[in-house]
Amino acid sequence: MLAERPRSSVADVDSRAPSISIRGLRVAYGRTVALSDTTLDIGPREFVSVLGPSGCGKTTLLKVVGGLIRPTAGEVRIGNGTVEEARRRRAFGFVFQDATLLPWRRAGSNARLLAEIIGGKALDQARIDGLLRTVGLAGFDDSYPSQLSGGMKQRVAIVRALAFDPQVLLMDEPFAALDALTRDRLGEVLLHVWAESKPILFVTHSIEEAAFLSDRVVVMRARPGRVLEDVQIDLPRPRLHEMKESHEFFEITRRLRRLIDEAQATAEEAR
Amino acid sequence: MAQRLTSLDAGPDAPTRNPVVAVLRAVLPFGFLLLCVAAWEAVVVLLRVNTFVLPAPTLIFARMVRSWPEIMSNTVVTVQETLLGFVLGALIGFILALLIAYSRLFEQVLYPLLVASQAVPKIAIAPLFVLWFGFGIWPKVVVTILLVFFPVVVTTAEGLMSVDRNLIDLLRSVSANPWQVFIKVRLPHALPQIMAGLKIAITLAVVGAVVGEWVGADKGLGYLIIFANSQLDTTLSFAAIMVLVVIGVVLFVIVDLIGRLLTPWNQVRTIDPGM
Repeated sequence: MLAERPRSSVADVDSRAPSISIRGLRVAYGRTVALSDTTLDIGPREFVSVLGPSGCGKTTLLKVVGGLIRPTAGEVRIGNGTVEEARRRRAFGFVFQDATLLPWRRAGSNARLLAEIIGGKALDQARIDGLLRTVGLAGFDDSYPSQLSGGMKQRVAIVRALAFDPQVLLMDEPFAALDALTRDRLGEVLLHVWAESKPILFVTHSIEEAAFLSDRVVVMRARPGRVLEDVQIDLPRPRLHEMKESHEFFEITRRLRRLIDEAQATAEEAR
Repeated sequence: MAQRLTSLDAGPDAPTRNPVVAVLRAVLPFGFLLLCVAAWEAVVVLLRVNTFVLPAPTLIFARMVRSWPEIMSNTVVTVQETLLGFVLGALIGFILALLIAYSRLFEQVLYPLLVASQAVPKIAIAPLFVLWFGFGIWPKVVVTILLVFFPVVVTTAEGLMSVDRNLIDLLRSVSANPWQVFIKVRLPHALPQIMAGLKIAITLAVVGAVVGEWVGADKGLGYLIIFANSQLDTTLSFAAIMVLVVIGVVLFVIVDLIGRLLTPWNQVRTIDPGM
């Protein structure tokens, strides 16, 4: 552990950021192979998206990395330790497609949930308030989830995941249920609070979203799920909205779309 | 309750602001009840129905006033049996639900047994309870418990077990212990369903106490009904039934109110703006 440095902002660059190494991963449920021979490295401050057709094992991969599913074979290492060690020191911040907020807790209290469960130094109310402001939820602490829009609920879920300052962010199609405008906006909010401070593994089925947010996009194919191609996204950071109209962006999305088509074709052959 | 609208929300499904409609809504159930009673009175008077068969509401009310001390003393007994049976039954139901929710073995072994217990007609086994527990309050309480625990078990167990899989995963991801999962998520999640179970249970509790009294008692409203019937005193019998109805409704309203206080988030409703 390094000595505590004074924090300049909630999105302070954290030197604890670990790299993630995934080696020869295989997950099988009986005869069904959800994930096969998957090898992947994620840098300590890298934003990596996993893109692929449904049934390609994207979510399975995310849950294995987060220690929620045990792999049949292969290994994941978080920094120098195992996934189990990382999970025990609360290294993972999860965000799912549904915000899964607790309807009886108000927004601020929902954002606090995981930090509260961990307790001790993880429960830093100033940090949580700062995050709520950053994602644009200032003044909504006292609202029940039933009073919030889908996008606002997902903002709370993001704050909840970041509240205890986890070392790794694992996101499973976090914006898939939102309308296109909200989705774009939240992508930018995510980049802002992330501030290249920790590795993110981001599962999505949106090509544009993956291209805009990521440093690398891993395209997967289905039946069995495995990595088809690992695409480097050479767009500068910070990412700006205008980049979506650039020639480079267009080239990237075209390439990703071709890869997805290929992934789908091979999946259909395997049927 | 603090209500804040977001620009995306269409608005709260609040009680209507129109005072005339609000008053009408509050008065309507009573108005309908009054209408039914008036119709009853009219039928009895116009068709000259014998009092042994069906006494007029005014007659029942007059009897209620005249026999008030007798009715009151029996009411106290029945309410005591009802409340004791309800509390114990709810407690037993809650503990059984915990066992079912947390152990597959209990779910497989216990649940069918509990369902089977509900198929046994309580009136048929009530005499046994008199044999086992004597003439005091306990046989009545036991019958009440038997009626009360079941809806509580079913609703509580379902509530505890129906938590979103992702939410449980989320808690696992920060190594939450089982007590934290229970107290922070499972129990509050189950609360609205538990309260629904308790609302069913409280009405059954009154029935349980009366059935218990029918089999062997020398006091209580159930006893009073049996006694009145044996004297062909239909008016007194109806008076006792009316009091039972009032007890049932009042207890239900109390449980409903407690439920509303315990689940304030359930009372805040906005029209879902869609995801």
